[in-house]
Amino acid sequence: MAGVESFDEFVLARGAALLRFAYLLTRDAGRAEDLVQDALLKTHRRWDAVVRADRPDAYVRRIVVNDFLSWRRRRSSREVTGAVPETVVSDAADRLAERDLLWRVLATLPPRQRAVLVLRYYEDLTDPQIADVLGCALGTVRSLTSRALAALRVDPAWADNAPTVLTVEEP
Amino acid sequence: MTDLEHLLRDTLTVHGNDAPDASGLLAGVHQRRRQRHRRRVQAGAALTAVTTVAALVTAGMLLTSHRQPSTVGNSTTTPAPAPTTSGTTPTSAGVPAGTQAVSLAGVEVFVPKAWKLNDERCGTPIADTAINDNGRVIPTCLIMQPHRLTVVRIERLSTSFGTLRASVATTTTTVDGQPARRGTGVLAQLLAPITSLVLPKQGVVVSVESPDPAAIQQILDSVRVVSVDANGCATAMPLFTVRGHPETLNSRLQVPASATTAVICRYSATTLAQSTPLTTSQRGTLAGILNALSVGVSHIKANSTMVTSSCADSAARGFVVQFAYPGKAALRIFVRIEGCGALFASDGTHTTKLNEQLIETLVGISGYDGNTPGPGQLQ
Repeated sequence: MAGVESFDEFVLARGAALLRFAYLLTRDAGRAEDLVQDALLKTHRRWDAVVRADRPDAYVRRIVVNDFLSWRRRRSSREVTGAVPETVVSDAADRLAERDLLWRVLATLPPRQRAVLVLRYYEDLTDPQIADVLGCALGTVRSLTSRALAALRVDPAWADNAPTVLTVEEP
Repeated sequence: MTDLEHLLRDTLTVHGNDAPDASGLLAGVHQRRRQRHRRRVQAGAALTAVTTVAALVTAGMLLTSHRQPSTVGNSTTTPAPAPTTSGTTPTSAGVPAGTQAVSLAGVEVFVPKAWKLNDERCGTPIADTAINDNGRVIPTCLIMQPHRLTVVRIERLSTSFGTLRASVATTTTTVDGQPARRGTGVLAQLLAPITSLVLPKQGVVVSVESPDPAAIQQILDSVRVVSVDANGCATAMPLFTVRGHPETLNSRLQVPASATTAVICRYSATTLAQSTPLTTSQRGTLAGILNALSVGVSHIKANSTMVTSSCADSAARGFVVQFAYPGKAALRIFVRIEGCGALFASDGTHTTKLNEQLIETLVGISGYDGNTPGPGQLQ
């Protein structure tokens, strides 16, 4: 990142955005803080090299995503997550309700699919950039994106507002 | 872009605003960095981690060491006068056998020596312990407190939890002639019943939660009000005046290696926040570091984004390292490692710059969590 002179400047300039990014991945404020702090701590140790590579933002984001994915893997796949309420809004034009529902359904996606969506639709990264962050092939990014969007479309809670309880998060 | 993708973007943008506030992020990172560094320093240098005995406070004090050189008239530095004390409060009479002192703002309480002090995670005790809540930075996380612990807290009345825990103390009493209040109650917010002893003049509350009533009684009965704590630190920040331009002084600190005891006294808001006695190896290490410091004063680099606190606040904070020698007056070295203006170590006659080794050693030994300069931030 051109113009970044010190680690502190970087954190002050980009900390809020990194926390938003981590929060969208984790949906948990405390976990988001932990992820970002851990990532920044790791970055601090290699700050000179990271700055020389002119890409501290991508570097930190990559650590956040990787830590998020490994953290998710460590969690039990039996874990039950937040459920979409039994009573689902009937007015599909209600943007607020739509967002709320989509936010809940997003939580049910596998972590890599959710990460791809956040990187693409929130961070506005291109597919090659997402591939770089996730450390995977371009085709994998496209596949993950496609599957994630498809899952959102067909999810009964989202697609037709049918009363649904979502339970198991991980495949 | 499809409607779903539009909605997805919209949803992520809106919920991104629910992310935690970033204002404490930098401080949190540096705190964790220092904690890790401390562990390495302590392991590598065999500096035995001495859990701190926290301290006390009262007093009015003046510290003028933060004056900018341009505002100072001559080039002499005066040694620190003796600390002002109330005259009514005793010097600590030593630590009763089997106990260790925990003190804050001139109030001292004695707890079992076997206890690890500040033995908590994220503010929640995880074993029998005494906690000195003197402005520590407490990270957030959710930890369940084990049942049937005995926990002693010494904290300032001015804090929200201090005020809360003081609210159960409704019976008037005295401690070393000082007005006090004592009482027991159950606070819904804190779940467990506590017994508190409040010393309004010192602005301190000592509270105990324990399944053992006798332990509560014994611990609170041990509370005393002192002007010098059990480790030899004055409870009021010693007056330390630098009248001259420190950079005109041209000789290094001279800390003889023959000290028999040494202690680090940390002051906050002009009162003793923490005192930490040094082991023999720590004494030697610290003396060596102090003797090697270069003459002059340090400043935070102009291009550093490190946030320094207000001058008034930082003038009321600092470390005093006291070395005791047989048959001689103690050597006291004032070390200013944070805040605005000049940062330095000085015995009143010799004034030197700081280095990272000194900062890390002081921070490592005392466990201080303040916003001290990191690598490369001093000039």
